Amino acid sequence: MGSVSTFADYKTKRDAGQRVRFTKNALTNTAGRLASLWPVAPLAGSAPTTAVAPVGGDAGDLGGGHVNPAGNLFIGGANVNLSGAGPAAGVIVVADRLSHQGGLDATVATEQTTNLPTAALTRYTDGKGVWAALEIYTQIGATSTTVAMKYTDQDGNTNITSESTAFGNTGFREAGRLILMPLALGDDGVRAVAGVTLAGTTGTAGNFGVTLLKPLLFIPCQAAAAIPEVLDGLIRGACQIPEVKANAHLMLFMMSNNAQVIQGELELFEA
Amino acid sequence: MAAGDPLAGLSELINLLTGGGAVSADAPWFWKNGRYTGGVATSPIAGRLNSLWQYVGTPSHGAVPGTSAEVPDHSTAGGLKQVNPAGGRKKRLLGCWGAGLAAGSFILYDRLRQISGLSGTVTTAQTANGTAITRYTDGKGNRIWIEIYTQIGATSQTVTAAYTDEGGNSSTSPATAIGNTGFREVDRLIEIPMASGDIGVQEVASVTLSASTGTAGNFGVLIVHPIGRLIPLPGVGIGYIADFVTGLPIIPEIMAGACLALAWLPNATTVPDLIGGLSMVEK
Repeated sequence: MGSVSTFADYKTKRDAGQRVRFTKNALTNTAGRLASLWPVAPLAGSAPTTAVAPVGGDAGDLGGGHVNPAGNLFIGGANVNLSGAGPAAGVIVVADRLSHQGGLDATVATEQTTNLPTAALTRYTDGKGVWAALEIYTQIGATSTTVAMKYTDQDGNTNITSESTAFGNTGFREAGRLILMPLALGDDGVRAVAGVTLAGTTGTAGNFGVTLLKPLLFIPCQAAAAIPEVLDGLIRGACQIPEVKANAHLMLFMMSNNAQVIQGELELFEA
Repeated sequence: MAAGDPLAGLSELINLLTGGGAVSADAPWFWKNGRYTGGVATSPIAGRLNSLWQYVGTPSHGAVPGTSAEVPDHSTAGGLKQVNPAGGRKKRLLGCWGAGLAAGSFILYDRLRQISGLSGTVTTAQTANGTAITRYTDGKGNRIWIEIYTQIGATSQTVTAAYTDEGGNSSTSPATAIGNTGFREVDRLIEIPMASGDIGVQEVASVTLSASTGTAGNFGVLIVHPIGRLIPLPGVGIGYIADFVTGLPIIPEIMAGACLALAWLPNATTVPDLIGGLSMVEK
């Protein structure tokens, strides 16, 4: 694996790197809750149906995609600006979207296997550190319930039932919501999801699906409009210099207290 | 340069971060849902330390410890499951980050030993010792925390600990509050102060209540080693990055076998959901 040998080498490679510029329209979100920007225009992804493992360049890839170099690719930094009426501080997370499907129904209270199991991972194939989430594409119902999934863990053990988490009703039903799925005792990753079970109907079918993702970069953003958060991964960025795997499909998810336009860019460099 | 040597400088750090070391850089992310198995977590007490050990998420929650003292490690359910250093290499924490549903601060700590099964109504010394700790064995910087698993009683009492300090001397802690509102709830962590002059803990022999709190409940005793500092999350959805290369503490070591876990110091009674991560290299 190629690596950077010195600080001077690092500067040279950062300067020669590529930038992925992106803009996302405002998405109304629930304060303190996670929302996916993948289906948000411009350059939005379309709600999936059958199980697919997205790759770089597929619809929805951040900024339309990036160039896969011959060597290893890393994120060296980012700058992100949140703007709009009454901008509020928030957090943007860059992730590699590994596998997704859709077409699940929030009124069905038996195990759903439609368009499942998820497509096999092509990156982070051991599943370690891979997060499973339910992504809501069309708003579901206003009745609170809980949801659990059946999955294969980081060791390849199958048919494990996850812990349950809240689903439906305010804060847990809106289009765009990304609801992370808690794992069973002892697990720390997911290779595949085979089924999803609601404890009861939420009242509205909507449309939701399973997304498997690997978080890569954490970007806390300023509250004031037009003042970007400039994150240098090495200096004061907690040494966040994550590798971007070959054929990665990058996405953003956020924790934001307000609907705001997101503009920014990632700096990628080849080691 | 040999395995375990200090980092030589910025160039070496960059080299390790970009795959130049024997193993890749390690950046375990975590998220915690404000739920236990089967339901919503107990509301924390504003301004009081709270355990996230039983909070579900990824990596998973931890189980209530056994009634015999046990030494958790990097593979224990509930820990952050970082890659364990090998080959004589040392693992070093470069920074961490987080954001959540509530304002407060989180503390990263190495969970050195745990035991449960202690009662809020027993007024004689309750044994807390057993298997010796295997990390920070000199005791320096280690702390004693009470961790509550089932709510104890509503009568205010105090608790003391009989322990061995960093010099190998037997000590008795000052009394600290236990029981009643703010000191009885599930997930409450109650730090037991040390005797004058002591700076650490090698062993905890027992804890003793001044009198019954009124309800047995279930609580335990932890020996912990806090790592770094309080990481502030200033508001709902407002993230924070703590950089340990350019700020304090400077690149703390993560011991081989460390069971890394999170404690929460809340500003309010909102059950927290958190996301975050750590950045580490190994040399």
